[in-house]
Amino acid sequence: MIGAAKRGDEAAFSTLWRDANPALLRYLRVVTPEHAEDVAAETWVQVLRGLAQFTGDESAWRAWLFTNARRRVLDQVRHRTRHPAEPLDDIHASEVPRTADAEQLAMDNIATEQAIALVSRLPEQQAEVIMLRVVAGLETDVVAELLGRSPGAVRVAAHRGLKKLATLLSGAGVTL
Amino acid sequence: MGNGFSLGNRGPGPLGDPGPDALLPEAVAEAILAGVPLEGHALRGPLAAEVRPLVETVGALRAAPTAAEFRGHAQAMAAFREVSGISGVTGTAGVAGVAHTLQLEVPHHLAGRRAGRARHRAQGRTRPAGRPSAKRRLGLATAGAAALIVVLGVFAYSGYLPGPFQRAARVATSTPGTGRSSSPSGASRPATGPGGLAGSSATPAAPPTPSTTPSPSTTPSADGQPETPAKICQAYFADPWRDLSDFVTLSKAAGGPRKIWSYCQPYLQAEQGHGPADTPAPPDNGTPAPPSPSAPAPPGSGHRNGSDGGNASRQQAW
Repeated sequence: MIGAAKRGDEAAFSTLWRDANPALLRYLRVVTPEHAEDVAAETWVQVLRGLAQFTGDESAWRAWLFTNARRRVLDQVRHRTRHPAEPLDDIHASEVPRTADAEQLAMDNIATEQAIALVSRLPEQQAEVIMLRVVAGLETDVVAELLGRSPGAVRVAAHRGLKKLATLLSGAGVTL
Repeated sequence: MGNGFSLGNRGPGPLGDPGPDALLPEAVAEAILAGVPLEGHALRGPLAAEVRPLVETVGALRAAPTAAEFRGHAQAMAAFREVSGISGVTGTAGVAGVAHTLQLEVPHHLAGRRAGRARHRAQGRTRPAGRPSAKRRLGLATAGAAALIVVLGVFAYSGYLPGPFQRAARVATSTPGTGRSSSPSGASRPATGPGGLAGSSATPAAPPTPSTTPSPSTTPSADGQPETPAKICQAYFADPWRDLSDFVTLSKAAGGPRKIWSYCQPYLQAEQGHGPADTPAPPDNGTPAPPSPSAPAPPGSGHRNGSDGGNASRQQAW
């Protein structure tokens, strides 16, 4: 399918996009909630730009897509660092809702939204590891390479993230 | 910040939480992350009570895509067509056009504007100042028409247009000439009838439904023709963004969105006459038998009711 998309097959690229974009958006809504759609679009720009040169199977494709996405996220972070937003001194970071559009949330799948909101309350890197493992479907080694960490560190982060998620669920009495 | 990356040991976490293995065995955690069933793990008492909502939460992360998550599809496809259409141009020069399609700002070093200007000068092209070239005028007209179709398509798929306009927009967006047809069969996209799959009258010589096809549906479509996996595959690959329900149905049948291509290949080849029309090979990778497409899961439906579209195979099992 990737080969067909590289040759200009619209249907193949459409299938790739439909398969990956929901996962990409969910990942981005955890790591950069306010800019998820913009970063997703930028990611596809880069992907289209490099598609002809891409080589690899579908798992490599997925890893490449999310690597591109993460680079765009880091660009966003650097941009925000240079242009800081209004500080929220009175509100603890964990209390700030990290989902962008309440009206949109009502239209979307409630369970998925709640799950994304819960994962967003984890420490950043634990949340990112869980999203890359669960939503992107990447193996530990791939996530480690993508994040520039050791597989062991990724494993521990994922495990701690799940534990904390369980704690949040039990503490909040959340039912999905 | 304190997080799992800075703590490679198994001691207490930064927020006083117990070590990772305290209540959640590593094998169970890995199973949850990988989306494999947990029946093989002996989960009892407090662990079971803790793990069940965790599994449901992680499963919800994998739930079927919502309509909102497909919202940028038309723009992405337009960008893809734009890139494919300028395949003779170097990659960096194409980025400006793609970004324009996706309404993005692209830094000059990516857009390759200098390279474009230099190439223009090297080719010695001149025209009166202030007057666009015929090629450019044609391009602008084409771009305007394409933009109109894309906007119509977006509104149609978003449900913002009344039914007749939706149908018109869908037909318009699938009309040959508004975009290059490059379906695997090489055939132009068939016009689509209202509410149904790509019409049997528009799809030439669909192969007969094989008697050995696993669980073919005979649910009649809006035009009274039975919707078989072959027809759904043909309709989907003739016009992938025509109807989300085809995608959901095929995702379920194939065992995931990534398997749609291989799942449909036998049917598409049969349509082309490259394979045995009455006995399409079973999909590879142990793809499960296609379910009846008569009741496709609605996009965005929760995983708890079992209608989770293409992610069904990745759901946690209890």
